[in-house]
Amino acid sequence: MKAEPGKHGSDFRRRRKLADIQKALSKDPPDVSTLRRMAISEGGLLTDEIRCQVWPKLLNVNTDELPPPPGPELRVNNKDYEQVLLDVRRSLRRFPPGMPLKEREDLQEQLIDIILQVLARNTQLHYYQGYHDIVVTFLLVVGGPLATLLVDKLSTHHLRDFMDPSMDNTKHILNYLMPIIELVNPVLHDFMQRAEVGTIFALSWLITWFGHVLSDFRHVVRLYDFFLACHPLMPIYFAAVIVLHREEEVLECECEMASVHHLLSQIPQDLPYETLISKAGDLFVQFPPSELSREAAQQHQSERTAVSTFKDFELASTQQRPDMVLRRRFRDSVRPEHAAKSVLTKPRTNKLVKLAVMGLTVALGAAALAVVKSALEWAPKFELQIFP
Amino acid sequence: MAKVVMVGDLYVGKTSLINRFCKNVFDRDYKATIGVDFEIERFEILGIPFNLQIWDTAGQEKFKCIASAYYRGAQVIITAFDLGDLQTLEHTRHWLQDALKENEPDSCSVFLIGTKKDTLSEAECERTEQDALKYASEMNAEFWSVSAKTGEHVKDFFFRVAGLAFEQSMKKELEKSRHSTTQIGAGSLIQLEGNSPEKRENDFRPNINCC
Repeated sequence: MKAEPGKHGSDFRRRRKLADIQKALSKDPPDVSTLRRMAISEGGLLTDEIRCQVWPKLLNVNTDELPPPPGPELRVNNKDYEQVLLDVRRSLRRFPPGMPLKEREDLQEQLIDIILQVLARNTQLHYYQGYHDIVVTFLLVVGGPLATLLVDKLSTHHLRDFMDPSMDNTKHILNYLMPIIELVNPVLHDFMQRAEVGTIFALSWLITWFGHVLSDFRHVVRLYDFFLACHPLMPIYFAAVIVLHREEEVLECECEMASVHHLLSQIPQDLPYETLISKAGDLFVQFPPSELSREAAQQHQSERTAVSTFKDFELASTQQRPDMVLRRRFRDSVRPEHAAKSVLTKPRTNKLVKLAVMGLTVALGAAALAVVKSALEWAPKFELQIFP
Repeated sequence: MAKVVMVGDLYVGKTSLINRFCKNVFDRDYKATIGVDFEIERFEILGIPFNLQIWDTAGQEKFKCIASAYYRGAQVIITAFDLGDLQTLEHTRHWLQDALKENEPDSCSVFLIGTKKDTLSEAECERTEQDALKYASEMNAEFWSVSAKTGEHVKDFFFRVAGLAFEQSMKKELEKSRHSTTQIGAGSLIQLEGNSPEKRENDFRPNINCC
């Protein structure tokens, strides 16, 4: 008699996933496309220990040199200090319940330092309330020094639009929400339009990557796995999926702005996250941002948004790889037989990638495949350069 | 139903004040407000059910352009400041201007509210209240000082808000039905007898000294 076949199955899948992640990490350079798939697929990156290793790879951050902790001068005459202090003071709920007071206060001090450090290094960035909700997630998962590096990268890429002096670009990104809902469920869309609910109920979801509104930290980090592996607009697809998931409740609501806003802004804590994640991926593939941009732009002038910064990120991913220069040198001096060998290895790698993607397709459905593909579009660029 | 909008600098205690009134809690463990949120409080005034929809807004300057869309149609504007921080009092003028911009002139009652009364000594409090009263008369607002922590004056304050909003709603309702009777000349749900139109016109702005 087989006891709990489901549990055994999931144990097996978990162990296999752990092995796959380790294998991808141990490659030189690390197999980032596999890591992306692992971060998206069921359960995400599984443990914080793995996240410490994988998140830097997903963001293409070199972790060899961690920044030293800042001195007290960072806080002197700092225009952001007051505001950050006030927000961090009010972020008690973001720390694990039961954490000793001393430890929490220590982390809060670190949180202030990380935020001020990143802002000081990137003077073009402007703090917003909610930014601390993102930074605290990184702090709790990877610790202070590494969090500083990751948040620095994230702030100049995925979060760039939220860090403008004004929220205009953020509002523009919110404009993607209703077109997605319309494409999937026109009835719900029309109801929400009639209620004139707007999209501000999703503002805190978007700019904190749901860190502000979900009370279970495990759910937050699971979503961060997903978002770090995907296009910067993925949080807005996820927001749309949540609204679509709550269709019945919304339609039962009085068709009026306040009621619908109130209902939607109270996010249920028991959402089926894995299902919603794969649905969001599905929608992303069916209706990519490029297709939605016209509708979104109708509500707002098209400006420089995450989509364009994403292109920069792609470029940066390929050019800023720490080992790029070395590899280029190596390639220049490479002997003909080596070159021939490199050419031979290329098809094998592609086949491996294909096989891995098929594995994922079985696990997650066809949609996930395409999400991964969109991530692969920018991840393997350096692979191509490795095997010229 | 009346719409109340709460504005003011960040960390003056807008959310705490609303939470004290609507949930009777004071929680140090709350979060910064991002964007806008609101609570509904149900009253019964003179036997008539009446709801206050209290909109809570983010205090960070950066969110102003987002929150301001929600200022529209407010019957009551509450501008909050921290009694212990005079700068937040100075800023109430701008907050009020922004909120009024989104509304018909003279359609809103305005309150100026000093928070965190428990953190000040009586003498300090009195001094700030003197300043606040000046602002209040300039802003044509009614001034209150409260503490969400101790609950001091919080209930009275919101009852006053509800009372004024109720009065205003009733007047509007009367005006509407008066219009509809003159235009359509038929049945209105509210009896007009005994309400002189002169009173309505003279007394459109709520009299802040009446209670």
